[in-house]
Amino acid sequence: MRIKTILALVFLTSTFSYGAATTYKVDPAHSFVIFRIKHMDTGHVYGRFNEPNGTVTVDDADPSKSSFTLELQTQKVDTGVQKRDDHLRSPDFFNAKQFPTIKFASKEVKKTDKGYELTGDLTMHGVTKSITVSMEQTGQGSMGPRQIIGFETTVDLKRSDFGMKNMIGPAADDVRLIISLEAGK
Amino acid sequence: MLTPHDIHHGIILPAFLAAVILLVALIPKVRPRAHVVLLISLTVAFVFPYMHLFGKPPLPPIVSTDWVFYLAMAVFPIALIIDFGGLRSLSMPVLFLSTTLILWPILRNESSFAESATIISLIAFASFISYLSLTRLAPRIGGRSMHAILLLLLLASAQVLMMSSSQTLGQTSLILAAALAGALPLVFYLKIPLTDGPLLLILLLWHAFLMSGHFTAGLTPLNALLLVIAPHLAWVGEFRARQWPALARGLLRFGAVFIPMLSAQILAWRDFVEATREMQL
Repeated sequence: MRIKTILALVFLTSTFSYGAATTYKVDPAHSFVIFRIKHMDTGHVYGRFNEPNGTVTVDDADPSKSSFTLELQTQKVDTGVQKRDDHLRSPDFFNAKQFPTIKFASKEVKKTDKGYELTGDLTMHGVTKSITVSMEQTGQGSMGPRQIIGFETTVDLKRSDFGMKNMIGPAADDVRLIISLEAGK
Repeated sequence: MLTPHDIHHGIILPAFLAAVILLVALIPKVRPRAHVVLLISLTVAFVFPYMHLFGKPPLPPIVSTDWVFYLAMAVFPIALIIDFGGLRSLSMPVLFLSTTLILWPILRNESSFAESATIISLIAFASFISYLSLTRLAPRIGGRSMHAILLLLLLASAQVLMMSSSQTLGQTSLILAAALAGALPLVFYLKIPLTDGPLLLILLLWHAFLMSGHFTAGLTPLNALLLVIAPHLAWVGEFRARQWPALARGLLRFGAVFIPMLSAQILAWRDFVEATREMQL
């Protein structure tokens, strides 16, 4: 009888923990935030933000309670050319000393066939705007003792919407972000 | 790289506005107050082109450097009070305020409150000393010489800033340089003095560009220092060289100003060429 009670308690506890949200931390080493922008209306320049940070909270029981946050350091912009990176950090573009971070925080999450649709606030260059992105779940598994989960999305935005209006022409207004996140716990 | 729009709004327009407004000083009744007209012309010739080039910034500005747009207008009445009331000491709180508005949003991210306050106080005090030095120098060397010196320095600053990873700050400096250039012919013809009021406007804006250039872009401390001390080296013509002929004194003065100014330009150019070399590989 006592064993049955204990087994029942274990079963109930495991059911409860299965239903609870799971929070994963974005792995900077396995996550990539790449941007693409047209140069002189001719070729595309690609760059990335190294070491992205953030969290992914997944609630399978109630997906609307899931959440995604992402934080990028503008000082860590990397296009492979030091002079260009310095220029990107300057007041002409990101103004990294005054605006050291780019942040996204979801406010509304909907489950879709492939993953989630997120609506949230993107704050960049001192300006906050609401955006909606489709986040595709690319996989879920384990790496040693760690549980990992992957997501990917593409976001198109205009940098002028965030007050980055300088040198539009030599560097296009339209920017594409390709975000691939791997988060673990 | 400057586009035709940049050249039109950032160089031609301020030069044109400054020259046209200063024409009012030709009216005989206005001539004794020509320095006031100069102040008006420089303010308008900076503010309107800035707005056309970069858009009118929100109030309060999101980007701290955009405060220069509002500071140029706010300084105008204070500059008048200083000119007519002789209250040079009013410049200290003004320079402290402008330094705080420009630097606080930048410094707060990386420095503690005490560190930020110390840096701002030191820079504001240095600006104040710089202002006092130039207000005493200007009557000695004449408004035309001082005007020309500041014009050359603003042009040099524009070039150095553009090569220090900020075309925006360079263009802002270029607007003020163009305004000074537009006013130059009438300043020379009418011998308009560069009084304390217009000097405050020019110095406040110029120092704001250099501060922003150092703290947010790639303006090195050495280049910033060379540019800041350059105009003060015109004092060399005021000591032993006072007995020299006027032309020799003028050449000495300009030579003394040119050396640090040119050094900053050469250093910025050298760094720029070296850094962009890898982009051409």
